Amino acid sequence: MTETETKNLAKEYGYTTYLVERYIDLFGLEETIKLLEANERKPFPSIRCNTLRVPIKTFEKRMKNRQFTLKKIPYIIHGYQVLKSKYPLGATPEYLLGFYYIQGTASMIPVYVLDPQPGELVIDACAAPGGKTTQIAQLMKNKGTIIAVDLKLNRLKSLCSNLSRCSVRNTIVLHTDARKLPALGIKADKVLLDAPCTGEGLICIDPSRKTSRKMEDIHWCSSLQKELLTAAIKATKTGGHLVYSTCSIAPEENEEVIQYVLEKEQLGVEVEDTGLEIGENGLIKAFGKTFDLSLSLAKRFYPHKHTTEGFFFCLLKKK
Amino acid sequence: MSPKEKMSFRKANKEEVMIITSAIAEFGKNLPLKILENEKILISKNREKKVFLVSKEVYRQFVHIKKNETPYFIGVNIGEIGKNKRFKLSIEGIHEVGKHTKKKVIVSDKGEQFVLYGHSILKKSVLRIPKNLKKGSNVIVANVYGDPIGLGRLHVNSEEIHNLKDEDLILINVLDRGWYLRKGG
Repeated sequence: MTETETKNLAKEYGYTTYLVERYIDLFGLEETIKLLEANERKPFPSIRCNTLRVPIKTFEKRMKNRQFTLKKIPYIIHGYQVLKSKYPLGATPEYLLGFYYIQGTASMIPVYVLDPQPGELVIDACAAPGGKTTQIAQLMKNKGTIIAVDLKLNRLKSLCSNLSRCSVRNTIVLHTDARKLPALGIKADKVLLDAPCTGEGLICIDPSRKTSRKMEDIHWCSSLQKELLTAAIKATKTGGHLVYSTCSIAPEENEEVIQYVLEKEQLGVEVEDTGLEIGENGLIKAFGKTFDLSLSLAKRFYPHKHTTEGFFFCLLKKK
Repeated sequence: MSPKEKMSFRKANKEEVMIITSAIAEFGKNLPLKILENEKILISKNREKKVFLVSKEVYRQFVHIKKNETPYFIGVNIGEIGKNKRFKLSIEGIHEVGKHTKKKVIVSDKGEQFVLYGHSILKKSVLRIPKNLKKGSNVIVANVYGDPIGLGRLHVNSEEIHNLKDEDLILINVLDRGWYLRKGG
């Protein structure tokens, strides 16, 4: 494809040229067009039933009574797509009662992969606004302890509000930089790092991201993500597990970050199989770089293949 | 709490435990035991004396972590003790009490909407009200399924309700779960 053709394609779909160039390099022209097309369609909103507040059967009945048409997401036990709703999702009595959390389909999966258990000590390293923290508490049945950390003070209010609304009782919220986690002197059984990212996977939900992010943003995020993941690993006990996730599809924010920690032998981590049959495998090559073969065990989600937001996650074990 | 405030926490003293216990007991003699048993009670040390219930295992981690970092929030916030030394339930405090108390007014679907918009309750929305409640007493407001949705103060004695008209005020809205939408963030 010529430079002019790429520019025209980018213009047609309203993207910065560099982003489309990168997609073509990664996926080829045909798949890039499918991705750009899929990004024009907003996915159905999805919600997670909060079993800390309501049993699944009761939830389904109540939502039906409220004239919601829900479709069970087959691979997510508590997840539903909302096909039709008479009321705004964030304003129903059931929402206010904490019966559900509005959460992207792909972003529900990392917590199931982390598999937090009642009684464990779990860190949610970049927790606000609390979608995954409330989900961790749900799987832990409010037993054990979650350390929920976030640096952004204005987002902590939303985090605490969501914890309360969803009946979460086992959390200690810290206003701190997750890069300081090792200084807390705790070793967690499990750690979730849903890292701050460019949000490139959310273009289908927020089209402003077609042009609002630059290459420098990707590099800046990648560098921060490497520091955060290093700190998260140091706060994990030997034999413990971590899930690293982003809502970006840029390899610099995903496979490259994992590759970075794999190469730091003193961190002692390895990639583990998620056991999931859904999702594409992680990349082992991108933009001329080669990654460890085990990165194929990571998972990628795309709007044009999975009708979800773009997403990446990887399960790590501390040896 | 303002988002800029950082909380620090301490264990509730005897007087504070007494204040909390007697306020909860207004909703039922056995309620303090049901709600507070097996929980540590922590009080925020800043301007507002917020009350938090914390399980033993969370408390153990709290003791460890506070050596290096001051938590921003912990466990479940069930209310606060005012300067007048009275305990006021928070939304989740209302939920805790509402699960067990019989001092509960059931409102219609329409009434539920009014409550969640922060409005007070008229007679036409009341489906069920316990007997022998005095004007001025606090009651849990629940929807037709029994889910606690707010706290109301009775504007009349409950025995008088039958003599009132549909548009007459029965309950003043003190706090409701619509707060999460209006102010929750």
